[in-house]
Amino acid sequence: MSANPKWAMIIDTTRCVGCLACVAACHNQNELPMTEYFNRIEEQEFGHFPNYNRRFTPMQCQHCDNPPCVGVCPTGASYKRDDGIVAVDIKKCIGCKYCILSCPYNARVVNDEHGYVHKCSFCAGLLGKDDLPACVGTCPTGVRVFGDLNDPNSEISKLAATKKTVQIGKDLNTRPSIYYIIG
Amino acid sequence: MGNHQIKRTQTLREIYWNYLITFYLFSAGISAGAMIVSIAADFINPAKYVSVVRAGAYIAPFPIMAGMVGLVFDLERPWLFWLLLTTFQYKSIMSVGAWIISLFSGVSIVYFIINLPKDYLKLKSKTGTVNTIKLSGFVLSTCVALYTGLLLSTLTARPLWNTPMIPVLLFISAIIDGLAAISLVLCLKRGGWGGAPNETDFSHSFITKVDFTLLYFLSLATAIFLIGMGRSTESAVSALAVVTGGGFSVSFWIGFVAAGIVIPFIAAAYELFAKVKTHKPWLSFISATLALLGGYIVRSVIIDAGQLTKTILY
Amino acid sequence: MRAAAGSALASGLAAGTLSCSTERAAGVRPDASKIPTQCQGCGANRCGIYVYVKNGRVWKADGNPKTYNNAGTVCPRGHAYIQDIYNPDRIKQPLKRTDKGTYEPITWEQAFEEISTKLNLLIMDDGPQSVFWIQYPMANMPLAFRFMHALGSPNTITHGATCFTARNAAFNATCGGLPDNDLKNSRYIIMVGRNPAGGVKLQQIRDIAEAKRKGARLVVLDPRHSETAVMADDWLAVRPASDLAFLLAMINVIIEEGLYDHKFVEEHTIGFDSLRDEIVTYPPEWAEKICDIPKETIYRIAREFAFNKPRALIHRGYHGGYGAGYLNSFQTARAVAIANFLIGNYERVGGLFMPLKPTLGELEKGGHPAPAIPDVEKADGAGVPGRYPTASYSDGIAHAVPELALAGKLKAGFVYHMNPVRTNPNPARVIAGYKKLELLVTIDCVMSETAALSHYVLPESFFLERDDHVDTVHSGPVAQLTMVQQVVKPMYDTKPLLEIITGLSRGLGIGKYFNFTMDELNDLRLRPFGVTLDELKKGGVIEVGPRWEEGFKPCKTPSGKIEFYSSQLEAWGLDPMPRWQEPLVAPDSSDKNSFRLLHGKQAIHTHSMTANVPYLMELSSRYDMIRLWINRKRAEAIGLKDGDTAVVESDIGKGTVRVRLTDGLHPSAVWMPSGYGIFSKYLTTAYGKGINYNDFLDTYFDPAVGHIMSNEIIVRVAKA
Ligand SMILES: Nc1nc2c(c(=O)[nH]1)N[C@H]1C(S)=C(S)[C@@H](COP(=O)(O)OP(=O)(O)OC[C@H]3O[C@@H](n4cnc5c(=O)[nH]c(N)nc54)[C@H](O)[C@@H]3O)O[C@H]1N2
Ligand SMILES: Nc1nc2c(c(=O)[nH]1)N[C@H]1C(S)=C(S)[C@@H](COP(=O)(O)OP(=O)(O)OC[C@H]3O[C@@H](n4cnc5c(=O)[nH]c(N)nc54)[C@H](O)[C@@H]3O)O[C@H]1N2
Ligand code: SF4
Ligand code: SF4
Ligand code: SF4
Ligand code: SF4
Ligand code: SF4
Ligand SMILES: [Mo]
Repeated sequence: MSANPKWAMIIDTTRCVGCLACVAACHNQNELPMTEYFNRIEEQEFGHFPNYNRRFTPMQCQHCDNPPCVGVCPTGASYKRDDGIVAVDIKKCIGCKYCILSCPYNARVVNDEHGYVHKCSFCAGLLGKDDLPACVGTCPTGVRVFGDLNDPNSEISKLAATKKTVQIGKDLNTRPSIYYIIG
Repeated sequence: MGNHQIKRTQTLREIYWNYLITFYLFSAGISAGAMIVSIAADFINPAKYVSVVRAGAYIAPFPIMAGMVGLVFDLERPWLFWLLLTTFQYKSIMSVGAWIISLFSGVSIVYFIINLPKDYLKLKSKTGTVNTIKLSGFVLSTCVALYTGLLLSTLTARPLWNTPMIPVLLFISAIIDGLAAISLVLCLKRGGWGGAPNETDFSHSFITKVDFTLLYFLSLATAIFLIGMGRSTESAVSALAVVTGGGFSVSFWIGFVAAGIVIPFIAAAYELFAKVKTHKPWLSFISATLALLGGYIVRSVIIDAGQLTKTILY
Repeated sequence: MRAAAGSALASGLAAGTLSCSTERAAGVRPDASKIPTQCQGCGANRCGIYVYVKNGRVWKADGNPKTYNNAGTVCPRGHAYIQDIYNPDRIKQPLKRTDKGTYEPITWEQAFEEISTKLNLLIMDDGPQSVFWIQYPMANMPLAFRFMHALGSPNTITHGATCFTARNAAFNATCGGLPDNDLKNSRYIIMVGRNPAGGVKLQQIRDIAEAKRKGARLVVLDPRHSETAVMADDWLAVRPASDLAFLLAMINVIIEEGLYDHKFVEEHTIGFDSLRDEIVTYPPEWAEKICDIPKETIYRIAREFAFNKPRALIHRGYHGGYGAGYLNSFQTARAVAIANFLIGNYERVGGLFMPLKPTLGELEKGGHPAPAIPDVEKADGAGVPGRYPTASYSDGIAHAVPELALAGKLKAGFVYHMNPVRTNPNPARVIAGYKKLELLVTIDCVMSETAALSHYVLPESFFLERDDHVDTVHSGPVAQLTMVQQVVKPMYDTKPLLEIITGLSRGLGIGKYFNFTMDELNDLRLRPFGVTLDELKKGGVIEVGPRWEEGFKPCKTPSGKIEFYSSQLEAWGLDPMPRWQEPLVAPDSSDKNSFRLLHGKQAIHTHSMTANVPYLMELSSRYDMIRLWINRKRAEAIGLKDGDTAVVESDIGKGTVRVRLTDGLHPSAVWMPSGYGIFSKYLTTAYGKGINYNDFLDTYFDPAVGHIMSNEIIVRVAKA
C-alpha cells in the first residue's frame, strides 16, 4: 500500500462463472436488506447453437474519478475521497435520488428502511487491514483483483501493466476505477 | 447486440421519480411561464393587457409552492428537506435550482402583492424598485423554466434526457402552460380587470398570438427532438422507441402531440386567421385545458420513460 | 471465544435486518468474533469457513484459506446458509405425528421412549434387518453405522444411487478407487458433463481458472452451455446420453494413431490388446453420427489431449454426465477412466491421482468396542452377487427403500440429513413406500417432505449450534482434518446427532456403545495424529501426514494394475470392456414437442435443501433462474417465447414452468434446474416454486449398479 493509495479493481469477465458468491458475500458484509444490492451479475448471450457463448459481467459502483453522482448531489452527501473511493455520508442524504438517476451504472440503491441512498463502498471499512473486500475474497475463480494503483508492486498494478483492460462507459467521461478484462 | 441478448436483472426499482416530480416540474413550469408572460405583457403595454399582467402575477407564486410540497414528499427523507438550503453545491443543478426556486418564490410573492389593486407595499411611486422586481422576476422565472429541463438533460446516464432539446422543449412548454393558466383565469373571471372596455379581447388576442408562436416553436422543437434522437446513439434510439412506439406511445402521441400541440394550435390558428376578435371563453377554455394536459403528460412521459432507459445497456 | 459468541437473537429473516451505517463505510470495523468451523450448506464439500458473530448474532462467513476444498473462498450458499439459523421454519422441539396428520410437540424423553419401544417391538417381530438408516454421508456417518450395527442391521444407505454410483463403480473396476483431478497443474482439461461452477466444488473451479491462467486449454462436453463452459476454449454440445460414443472414438484415435503412453500401458495396465481389438469399431466417423460432434473435432480433441500427456485429464466426473444418468453411464465412466489412463496420467502431476485420506483414530482405543458388522446381506442388494454386485456396500441403493418397504422387507427407518421424498425419483412411489413403514423417524432441522411424512421428527441443532465429528473431507494432495464447531448457543430445544443417538440407544439396549461425549470421541479420532481437539478448534483445519507425490502406486484392483479389461466385471455378467450401448429412452424425433429432460445444479442451490433459504430464493427470482431451458429454435417451432409458461409432461408426472429460450442447449433436450419444486407446506419460502425432475422420472434400477438413471426421461413440452 502506498502513502496515498488509489483503490481500484480489475474484473476479469473471462473467468466469471456467474455463481453469485460475490453478491451474497456483499449482502452479509454490508448487512443489506434482502432486496437491496450493491453488486450484481449481468448475463449476455452471443451467437447461435452450437457456436454460442455467454458472458457474465459483475457490475457495481465504479468509483468514478469523475463521478456524476457526486456532481449532482444537492447536499454534498455524495463525495469523492482522496483514495478514489466515492462515498455517501448518509447523515446528509435527503433521499432525492438524483444521484441514482445520474449513475450510468445503476450502482445506487435506496435503503427502504431509512431512506438514504447507499452503494458499494469498496468495503472501505476493511481497507488497510489484511482483509479484501468481501466480493473479492470469496470469488472462486479470482475474477476480482483489488488494490492500490499507486503502489507499483501491488498485484493490481502488475496486472494492469500486462493485461488489456477497458472501462465501461468510457465515452461518458466518468473515468471508472474498475477496469474490465473482456475476452 | 439484439435486445434478447440482454437479461435485465439489475433494476432494483425502475422508477425512482414518480408523479410527484412530474407535478413539481409541471407546476414550476406554470409558475415560471405565468410570470414571464405577465412581466412581458407588462413591458409591452400594461394598460392594454392588464388582465394578462394581473392573472399572471396572481398565478405565479402558487403552483410552484404546491410543487415544492410534492418535491419534499418525493424525498425519501422529507424531514431533512431543509438540508437543501443549508448548503450550496454549484455543480448540482438541483441545489442551484432549490436556491433559484426559493428566490423566485420570494420575488413572485412580492410581484403578486404589487399587482394587487391596493398598494400594500407602498411601492407604486418607486418605479426603480418596481422595475428591479420585475426584471429580477423575469430573470428568475426564466431560470426556473430552464431549470426543469436542465435538471434532466445534464444526466448523461439517461439517453432520453441527455439532449439539449429537453430544456428547450420544457422551456417553451412552460411558457405555454403559463399562458394557458392565464387564459383559464380569463375565462373564469369574465370581463377582466378593467382597463379599456374590450380589454379582455385585447388580452385574449395577445395570448392567442403568443400561443400560436410558441406552439409553432414547440412543434419544431418536438420534431427536432424526435429526429435528433432517432439519428443518435443506439441507446438514444431505443430510448426514443420507448416513447414513440412503446408503452408510452398513446400518452405521447395523443396526450402530448394531439391534445397539447395540434388542437390548441388549430384553435389559435383559427382565431388568428379567421380574425376572431372577441374572446370566446369556451374555446379558450378547451384549448387552455388541453395545453395544460399536454404539458403535464409530456413531462410525465419524459420523466417515466427517461428512467426506464439507460445509456449503458447493463 | 465461545463465551463471547453468546446466544443469538431470534428475530428477523435472513441476510441481516440491521441497518447500514456511515461509520462502517467510513472505516470503523465492527467488533466481531471469528470462529472457525465447517460450512454445511452442502454435504458434498463441507468447506472450511470462519463465521463472524456480532452482538450475539451470526454476521458473515469467510473462507478458511488453508482448507483444500475451498481454499479461502465461500460459495453463495455458504454465505446465505449461515443466516438460515434464523429461518422461522426451523423445527424447535421434537414432534410427533397425530392421527390427523398434524404434528404435536413432545419432550425428548417421550420421543426416545416411544421410538425405542416401537422399534424394540418391530425388531422382535421382523428382525433388525427390517430397519434402515439413510443419510447424506456427512462426517458423522460412522455414528449411524455404529448405531445400526449395534442393532444388528446392515442397512445403512446414502444418496449414492441418486448421484454418483455409476462413476464410482466404474473407477473401482478400472483402478480400484476414485481418483482426484490435479486440475491446477494440467495443461489440457476435458469436462464431460461436470460443471463445478454450478455443481460447486470451489477448489476445482479455482484450479481450472488457475490452470487457464497458466495457458491450459479447457474443453467442456455438455449438451448445455454450462457455467464452466464460460471459461472453455471448446464447448462441445454433445447429444445427451451419447458421450460414450465420443469417448470410444477418442480412445480409437489415441490407440490407432499410437498416441498413448506405451511404457505406462505396458507396465501398469492389463487388457490393452483386447481393448485395441474392440475399439477399431468406434472411429470418429462412426461416433459423429451418434454424438453430434463432427469427426474433425473428435480427432482434434483426441490428439490435443494425447499430445499434452501426461499433464492432461478428463475430469473424473460427478453426477451430471454419467454419475447416475443413463443406462450407459457405467460404460461411459469406464471409457473416461480408460481414456485417461491410456495417456499414462495416473498418479501424475496434471493428471489423476488417488487422494490421501487420513485414517482417523478408533473408538476402541478409548475402551469403546465396536459392534460387530452384521453378517447379513443388505436388503437393497448392494454389493450382492446376482443382484447389484458393483454397487457399493457402504452407499447402498437409496431408491430401493420405498420398494422394499412396499414389499414388506423394511419396516422401520431413520432418515438423517437427507430428504429422499424430494430427492428420489417418482415421488408418488417414494411417498407410498415411506408411508408404508411402521416407524419412520426423521432427524432434520426443518420439516422437509420426508419429515412431513414421519411418525417422529427430531430436530438436530443447526450446524452453527453444535460440535460434530472430526472430518477428513478436505483431502486430496494433502491430508487435512477439519470439523464443525459450535459458533453460537442453540436457539431451541434441539440436540446434535450424537446426543440423539445416545438417547435412543438407552431404550434399545445398546447404550453401552454410546457412552462417550463428542469431545471424547473427537479426542480419540485425533489421537493418531498427535493433534489435540483444542488445536483443531482453534485453527479449523490441520494438515496431517505427508503430501501427495508423483509415481505409480499399485491399484486396489484384483491385478493391482489398471484394468482396461475387467475379468471381475465379466464374472458378474457385465461387459468387461466399454462397448457402445444405447440409452434406455430417446425423444420421438417425429414429435416436435418431445424432448429429453436433463437437469443440473445452480450455484445458489443445494439439492432440495436450500430452496427454503429466503435469500437464495430471492436470488432465484431476481435472476429469473427458476426457468426451464429450451433451445430457441425448437421453442419457436412450438410457439414458445422467452418467459412463457410451458406444460411439461411425462408418463410419471406433469407440471408447469416458465421457459428460458437459449442457443446454449442441444435441441433434443430441455434442461431443468434441480433445486426447486418443494412441496412440503411447512417450508414457507420454497413451497410451490418451480418444479423438479424427479416428478417426471420413473423408478429405474440400472442393471449394473442399481442407480436411478436420472436423465432417462422423455417429456412433452407445450405452451401452457
Ligand atoms: N451448487 C451446488 N453445488 C453442488 C451440489 C448442489 O446441490 N448445489 N451438489 C454436490 C453434489 S452432491 C454433486 S453430485 C455435484 C454434481 O455436480 P455436477 O455433476 O457437475 O452437476 P450437475 O449440474 O448435476 O451436472 C453437470 C452437467 O451435466 C450435464 N449433462 C446432463 N446430461 C449430460 C450428458 O448426457 N452428457 C454430458 N456430457 N453432460 C450432461 C448437465 O447439462 C449439467 O450442466 O455437485 C456438488 N456441488
Ligand atoms: N430434487 C432433487 N433431487 C436430487 C438432486 C437435486 O439436485 N434435486 N440431486 C441428486 C444428488 S446429486 C444428490 S447427492 C442427492 C442428495 O440428496 P439429499 O441428501 O436428500 O439432498 P438434500 O436436499 O441435500 O437433503 C438434505 C436434508 O438434510 C437436511 N439438513 C440440512 N442440514 C442439516 C443438519 O445439520 N442436520 C440434519 N439432521 N439435517 C440437515 C435438509 O433440511 C434436507 O432435508 O439428491 C439427488 N436428487
Ligand atoms: S458508478 Fe455511479 S455511483 Fe459509482 S461513482 Fe460512478 S456515478 Fe457514482
Ligand atoms: S439521494 Fe442523497 S446522496 Fe443522492 S443526490 Fe440526493 S442527497 Fe445526494
Ligand atoms: S467491494 Fe464490498 S461493498 Fe463493494 S461490491 Fe464488493 S463486497 Fe460489496
Ligand atoms: S464470485 Fe466471482 S465467479 Fe462468482 S459471480 Fe462473482 S465474480 Fe463471478
Ligand atoms: S460449496 Fe458452498 S455450500 Fe458447500 S460447503 Fe462449500 S461454501 Fe458451503
Ligand atoms: Mo450428488
